[in-house]
Amino acid sequence: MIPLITEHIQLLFNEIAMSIGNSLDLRKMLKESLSTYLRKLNCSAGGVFMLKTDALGNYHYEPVITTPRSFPSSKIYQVISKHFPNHDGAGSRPLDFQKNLPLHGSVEGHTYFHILELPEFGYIILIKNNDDLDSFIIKSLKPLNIKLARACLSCLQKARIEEINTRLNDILMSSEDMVWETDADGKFIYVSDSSKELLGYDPHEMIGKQLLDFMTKLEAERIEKIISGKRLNKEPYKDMENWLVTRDGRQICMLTNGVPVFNEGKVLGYRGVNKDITLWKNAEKQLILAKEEAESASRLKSEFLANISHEIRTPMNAIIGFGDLLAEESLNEQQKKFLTFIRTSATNLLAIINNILDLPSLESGKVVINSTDTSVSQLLDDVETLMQPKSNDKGLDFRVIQQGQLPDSIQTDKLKLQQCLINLIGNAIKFTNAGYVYLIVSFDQENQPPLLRFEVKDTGVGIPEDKLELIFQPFIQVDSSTTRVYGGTGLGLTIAKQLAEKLGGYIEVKSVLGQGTSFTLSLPVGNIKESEKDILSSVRQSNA
Amino acid sequence: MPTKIDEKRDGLVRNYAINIRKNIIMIIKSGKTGSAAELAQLLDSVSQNELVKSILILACDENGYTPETINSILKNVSIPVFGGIFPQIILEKENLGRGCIVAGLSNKAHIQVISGLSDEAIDYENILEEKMLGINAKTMFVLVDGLSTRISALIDSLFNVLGLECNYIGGGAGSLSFKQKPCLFTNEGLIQDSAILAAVETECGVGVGHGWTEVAGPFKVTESERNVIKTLDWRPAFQVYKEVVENHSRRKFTSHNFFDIAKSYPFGINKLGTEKIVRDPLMVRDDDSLVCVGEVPQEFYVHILTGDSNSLINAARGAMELGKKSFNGTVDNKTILFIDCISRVLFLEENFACELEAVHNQQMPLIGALTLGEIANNGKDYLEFYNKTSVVGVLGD
Repeated sequence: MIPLITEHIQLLFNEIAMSIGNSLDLRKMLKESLSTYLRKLNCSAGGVFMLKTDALGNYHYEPVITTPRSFPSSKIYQVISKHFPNHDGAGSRPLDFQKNLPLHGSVEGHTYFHILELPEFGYIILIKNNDDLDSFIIKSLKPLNIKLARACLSCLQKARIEEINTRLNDILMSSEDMVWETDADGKFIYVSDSSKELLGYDPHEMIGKQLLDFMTKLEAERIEKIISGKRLNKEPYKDMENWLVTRDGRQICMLTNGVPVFNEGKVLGYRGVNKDITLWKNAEKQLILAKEEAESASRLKSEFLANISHEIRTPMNAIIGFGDLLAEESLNEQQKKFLTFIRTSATNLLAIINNILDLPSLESGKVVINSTDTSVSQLLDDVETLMQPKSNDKGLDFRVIQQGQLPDSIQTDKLKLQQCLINLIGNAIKFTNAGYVYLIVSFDQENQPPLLRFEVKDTGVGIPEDKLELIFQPFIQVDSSTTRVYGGTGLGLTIAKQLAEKLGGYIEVKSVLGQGTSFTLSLPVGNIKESEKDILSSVRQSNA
Repeated sequence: MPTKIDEKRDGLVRNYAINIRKNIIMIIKSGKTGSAAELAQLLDSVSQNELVKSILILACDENGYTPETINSILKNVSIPVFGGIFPQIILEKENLGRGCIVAGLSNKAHIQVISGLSDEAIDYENILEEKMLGINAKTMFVLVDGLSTRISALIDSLFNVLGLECNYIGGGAGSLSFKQKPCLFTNEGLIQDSAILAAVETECGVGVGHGWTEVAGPFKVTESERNVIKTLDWRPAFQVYKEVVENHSRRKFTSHNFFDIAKSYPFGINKLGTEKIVRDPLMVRDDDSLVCVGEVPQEFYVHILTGDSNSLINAARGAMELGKKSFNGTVDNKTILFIDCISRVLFLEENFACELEAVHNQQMPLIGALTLGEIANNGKDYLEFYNKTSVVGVLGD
């Protein structure tokens, strides 16, 4: 027979029910509720425990409130805590543990305990020292326990919301940007405190007004067109620049970003952030001016160079041309000697002028790379033909050495590559007084991408280690005495490096002072003819 | 068998020295003049005994003790002293309207005073945790200014902080004039609006009973503020109360007879498996709210109770039995501390002698006080502040 809940007990339940959820502060709420549970059920102790899970998924039950406060260290608690999942040896997971609730037992025959589930929150423990609670009371308490659990969860939720609000508020307070929210008509319903700093208006002065109210008429007309379109299409404001007028009449530029606030598909308003970018805008203006000035100067320089290119090259070509013609005439030995000086000096001067005229084009990126199918052997032959006379003049041993199998052809700008190599070899010849200058060409198939390497190795004067980093800078030679001894502008290596990079490669240098120098141009070889891949593959295999 | 020595000289009417196994364990001295000199003499006499480690004073309001007359006497006592001034005190089978009882305890009392017992801003739990830290006791005497407004809050705090590790016994001191004045004894003098907690290692068995039964209800307390019931079932509290009580008592409330009738019709608050907690209505306010002794929480349900001489006296007898039963050990020769509500005297009138008779035992000396509210717990029930209730403490001292 199911016992009837008497009016007396129903009143107790009503009183307990009315004590639940009267505060959204968890401890305050539970203090009232637990006190009423214990008082009305005439219990001698009790507590509410909350399930806590950390980021790693570990869980434990934590007392939120106990009566008396020392209950968790009492003898009775030590006994009943053996039932808990986080107790040593118990080992069941919280969900399994909660499925087994309510748990009930006695200690020393006269102290009774009940552990009752608070769904999704934890459990409540009730201790009776007089007589036990009837099982029908325990069952009847279930709805109250559910109500208590929900009240606890509401308190936690509120605490979380408060935590988030505090965090957001801290962020808002520390931000220099103006955070805002408008209604559907674009009128501010919230403005952060930074409005005071940015515009000189307190937030309450802006509430009920539109952003347009803080603009000049012209700017307001411009912005209204933009934002009315955005509103119509329910689109966000994205990086919308607009100029506002501050309380003291200054104009500041804002970068506005905002998103529509929806409720069931209807736009209730917008919320977003205004960032003061006045400084950026001013800096941008100055940059544009500086850029225009620089471009203008560059144009003048280009025009100047184009002019002097023509003006200088024309007489130089005349000097060299007529020098060549004069050499064919019958001249005495002294005249021949003087003419040789004139021709050599003129040729050197033309080379220097060419370098000076080429460098700006390379630095400004105006040099265009025209990749064509280039025969490697033809390239090497051409280089050898061009450089052999110079080397012979100095009595040097100049050779082009092919190491291993080379691709027949590569995709590159032949003229630029040739110029790069000539600069490197010319530099080597210039600074080598005796011995050799070798161009050693090899193909590194193991590298990805494969590299075609051109090593220019000499037995020249060498470069001190601390100067190695400087030699590719324009107009730099190892020291001023070098210029005096060897001549030149110091642009050859700079141009070689720029050309190598334009071609997608790079130059490395090794040197021992007094023994010689080695410059290596490594050039990635992207496009090799399909027919050659097989050959290269077979070479790779045979090398292996 | 105890040895009783009666003396009648210098206003001292009874002196008891209870000799058990040749050890004097409690010395009780009393006087009926109610003079300050008498109290000084009794304190001096009891404190002289080297076995006495602390002193409990029970005194009558009619003595007219004031801080001016009493404080210097109290400050001269070299051992811990505590106690209260009550409407009446009890010595054996007699309730006294004038005089005092000085009881020497063989255990040292650790006494703490909680002041500001009507102060809304005070968090008693924090104070108790700080003051009672590390104090272990078998019995806690709790004496409060019965006219303070936050007695229930203190009792709840005691339960929350200390729990039921010890037995509690005590009650509300003060005057039936309901005028608040210094009514608690401490070594520093008389104090008011405070509570005294005296922790002792004395064994104690406690029994509680009242004998009031339901007449009408339940009524929902739809609005209350601490000890003031403003509305019952959404109606002014007095209107509801008046209808029930006038109908039951066949008497009419007038502007002067509220307490005369109300003393027979207290409120009862529900609790599982035990007697209702009684709340004594003291007066009616102009807004028809009822002022009670003790808190009546909003949203609780109350019944209107009444009783008769038999039910009340039987309840007192039952409390005595419960007290003896809950005492750990033999009760022979142990002292009975009877804390009984003054309103029971007013209700029982000449039959109150029967109530005293019901709890009296020839083998056990009896002292007590007729109080404004009672405090008791034997470690089994939720700790409560009672009204109109008999509390019997069997002291192993």
